[in-house]
Amino acid sequence: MILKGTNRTLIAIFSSVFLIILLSYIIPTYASVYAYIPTLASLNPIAPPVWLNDPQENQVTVLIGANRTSASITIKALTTNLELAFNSDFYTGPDGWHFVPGMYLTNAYWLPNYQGALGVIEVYGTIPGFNGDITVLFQNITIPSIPLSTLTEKITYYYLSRPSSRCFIIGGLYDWEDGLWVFLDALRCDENMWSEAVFNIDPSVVKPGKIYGLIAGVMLFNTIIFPQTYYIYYDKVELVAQTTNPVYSGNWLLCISDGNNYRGKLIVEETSFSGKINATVWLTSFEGSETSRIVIRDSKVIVSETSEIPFTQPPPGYSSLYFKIDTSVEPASSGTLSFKFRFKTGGVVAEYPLTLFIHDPENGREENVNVKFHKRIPVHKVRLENLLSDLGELIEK
Amino acid sequence: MNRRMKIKISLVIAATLALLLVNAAVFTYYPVAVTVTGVQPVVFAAGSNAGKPDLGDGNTIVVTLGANGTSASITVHPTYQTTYYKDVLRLQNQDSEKSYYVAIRVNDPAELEGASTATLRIYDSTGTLIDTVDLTTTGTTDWIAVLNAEDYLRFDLKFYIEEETSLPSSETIGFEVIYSPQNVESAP
Repeated sequence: MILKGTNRTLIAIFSSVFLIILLSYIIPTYASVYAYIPTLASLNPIAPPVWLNDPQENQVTVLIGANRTSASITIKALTTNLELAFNSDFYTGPDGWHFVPGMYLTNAYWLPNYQGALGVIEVYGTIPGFNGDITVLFQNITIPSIPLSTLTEKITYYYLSRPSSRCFIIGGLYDWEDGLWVFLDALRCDENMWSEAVFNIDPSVVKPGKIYGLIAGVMLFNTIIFPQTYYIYYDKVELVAQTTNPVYSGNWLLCISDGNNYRGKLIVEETSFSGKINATVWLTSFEGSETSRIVIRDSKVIVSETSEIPFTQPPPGYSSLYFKIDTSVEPASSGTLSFKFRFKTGGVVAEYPLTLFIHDPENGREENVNVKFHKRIPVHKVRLENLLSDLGELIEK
Repeated sequence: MNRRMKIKISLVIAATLALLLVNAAVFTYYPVAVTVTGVQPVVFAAGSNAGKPDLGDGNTIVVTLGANGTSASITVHPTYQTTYYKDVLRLQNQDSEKSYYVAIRVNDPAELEGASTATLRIYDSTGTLIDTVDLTTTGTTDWIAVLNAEDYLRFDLKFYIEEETSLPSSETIGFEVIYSPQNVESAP
């Protein structure tokens, strides 16, 4: 018994010693192999290659960060009279307008002044006896994607009267897509004085975001046997839309880059709203290309980021990118949107934080602003013949 | 203590002294040949964005590897706010069988002003984020990743430079990639 006990003790001692020796070999074997690979990262920070700018818009207040890589923007949405026609006053020339000649009224010129008005379009021609003619100026306009309360065409004209003649000023909107007039009317001309022909158009006849041909024309009838030369002068052709709710349409930020080639996009990070806000936000380049749009409908983000847009150093006087918004705010509403302006080149991505605050500063009280809605649309030349034939029908009537 | 026990203890002491004397006096030499074979199971490789254009006109993301891929130098040109460099460097396991554990040791941290940050972001080859390492403080991470045989890890760099701080003309960050076949102990 005593021997058995001694053996057990010896076995235990030898086992422990063996285990300790074994572990003392095993642990160092695994713990002793480490490889170290050195890496050196050199940062050569540079001044911002893309920097932000204030668009200097009346309804927009911009606070740019110290290094022009962040911005806090406040947009004051107001009930707005949007002037939808481009170059409505011909002040510096006829840019943006097209002349559709009649059969006899075939001449149109821009004059620097006439009868005290600066920048006018002169249209003239000789109409044979017992004949009539019609001629128009037109340009394509886009109806904004916001609710409108009124839509008014105003034509400021001067008609030099002729004996035994009848003159009518024509206002109209032509739907290119459906090939029909959504509005067409004529008013008897005042004679030998600057006058204003006002056409009130029902806003429900136009569709938001759609392109229409804006017409300003004259219809003349010579009711005597002898030919007579007629002159008509246009000082302004305006199409003014008043918004139902406070709105802002235009630039809210600009950015300029160095000569590198970049691709940029906007991403909504966070939002908070009080009341109801609708907005679309997008980027355009100085070359005219546009991103897809961030969409906010009834204070909910429907689309949270734009597509990418390439940009680079702009020519003098331009910006690389224009940050655009169309927003409509119900009275007393406001909203804050946090964006990331993300741009990349090669293998690097950079992000600038932007905060946009949109509000109705008057809390629904009437405040009005007049804004030019400068947007030029390519001319649909193909449809001109349809336009002319329809106007011809009007003469016959 | 009885007499028998005293004799036993005396014998043990005598035996121990004898053993010590023997150990002190006797030297036995067994020949051991140590063969050092250089292997490079884990090396650096340039990421897909190495050499691509960086911020700033004419700048590029410069990645220079040591002759055997066992060191790397990266030069980048961040600016204010957030600048992210994706896939500038890769850690490639060339071993066809063995996996390695990976840790990062920051020796020479970035010294940036204000709330500015510099981060190393490590992704596996499937694009899953493994870990982020703060490059503004010294220290060694745990074993943060397993680099499987013939697989790679992707290294991204992310910088945030706070507006209104001054930009350093140049800043160097030194860190080491440590790899080991075990993860029992931390790297010394």
